[in-house]
Amino acid sequence: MKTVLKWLGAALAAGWLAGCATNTTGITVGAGTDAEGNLQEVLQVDNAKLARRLEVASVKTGQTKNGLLKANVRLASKMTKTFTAQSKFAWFDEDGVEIDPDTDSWRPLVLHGKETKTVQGVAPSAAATAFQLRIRTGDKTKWIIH
Amino acid sequence: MTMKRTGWMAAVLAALLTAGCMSTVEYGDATSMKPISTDFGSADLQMIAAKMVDSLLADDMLMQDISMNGQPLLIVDKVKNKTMQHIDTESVTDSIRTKLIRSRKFSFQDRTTEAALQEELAYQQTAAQDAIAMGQQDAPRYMLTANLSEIEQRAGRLKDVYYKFTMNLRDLKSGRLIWADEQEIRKQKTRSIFGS
Repeated sequence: MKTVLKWLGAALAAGWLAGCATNTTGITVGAGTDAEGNLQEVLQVDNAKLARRLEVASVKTGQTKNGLLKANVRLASKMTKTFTAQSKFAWFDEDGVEIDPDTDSWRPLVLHGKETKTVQGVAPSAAATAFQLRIRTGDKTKWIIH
Repeated sequence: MTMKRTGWMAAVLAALLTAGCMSTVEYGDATSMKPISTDFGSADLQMIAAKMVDSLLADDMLMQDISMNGQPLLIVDKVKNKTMQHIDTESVTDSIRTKLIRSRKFSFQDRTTEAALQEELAYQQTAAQDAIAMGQQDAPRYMLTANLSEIEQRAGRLKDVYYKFTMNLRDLKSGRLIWADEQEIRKQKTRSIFGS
């Protein structure tokens, strides 16, 4: 009886504490031309669990006819189950300064089993020369977007 | 010994529970995406605005056509809210318009502040020495119109709401729709077995 109570108390405390703060780290993928015109690619993995589930298949940049940077990132799921993540673009000008920080919102990214999906973005202004796509699992989401 | 142990554990549990009972207020992240209910939410608004703006700016053929005589002048019509909810659809078009203006590829006319503008111009005629003459506004050439509709389905504990936002760009001279795009959103709520 004593040990049952002890384990129950420990389990309750652990469960309560675990629900307190979710892990919101993720992966950052980016590309852009630096001051000399060389293409720089960025891949920063902060969440090993997410890196096991998700693979960056390709990163492509382009320009629209009126001079806006277009970014195209193909993400492949390594899992067999559907999983939901969130993604957000960040745009940088030629000095490496972020343009309009914190105005783009997190968008849901739903990947079914072993699916490859393309995430596209267009820069908000012609000053952008580099971009970064941030991906995280973070807060649980139950959306399905078509 | 056992009484002291259980008493101590009960005190710890009580402390944990009461700490969770106090109400807290804190600033959240305006760009976060956590759905609270199946109603139309802030993240839906942001997603729609982002998708429409990206789609407009990335359409090379359209941008070339409408920018032939300089920056195109647009006007935004009220969004037809065909859902059962009260949604401030003007805030969706405000977000879209703000992003488009900031991209420096579009200009907009705003009829919602027309009364204030007319009042100011009328006052200027009587009081200002370099008053702006009336009747000099630029006429918009294109109009953005939009529709928001929803389809709700329920089955047992599952409630599924599907939203569709359709936006069109209309040439006011020819009347043609020269661009259109839509964003579909589905939100599902599964009620738990105990209560809601």
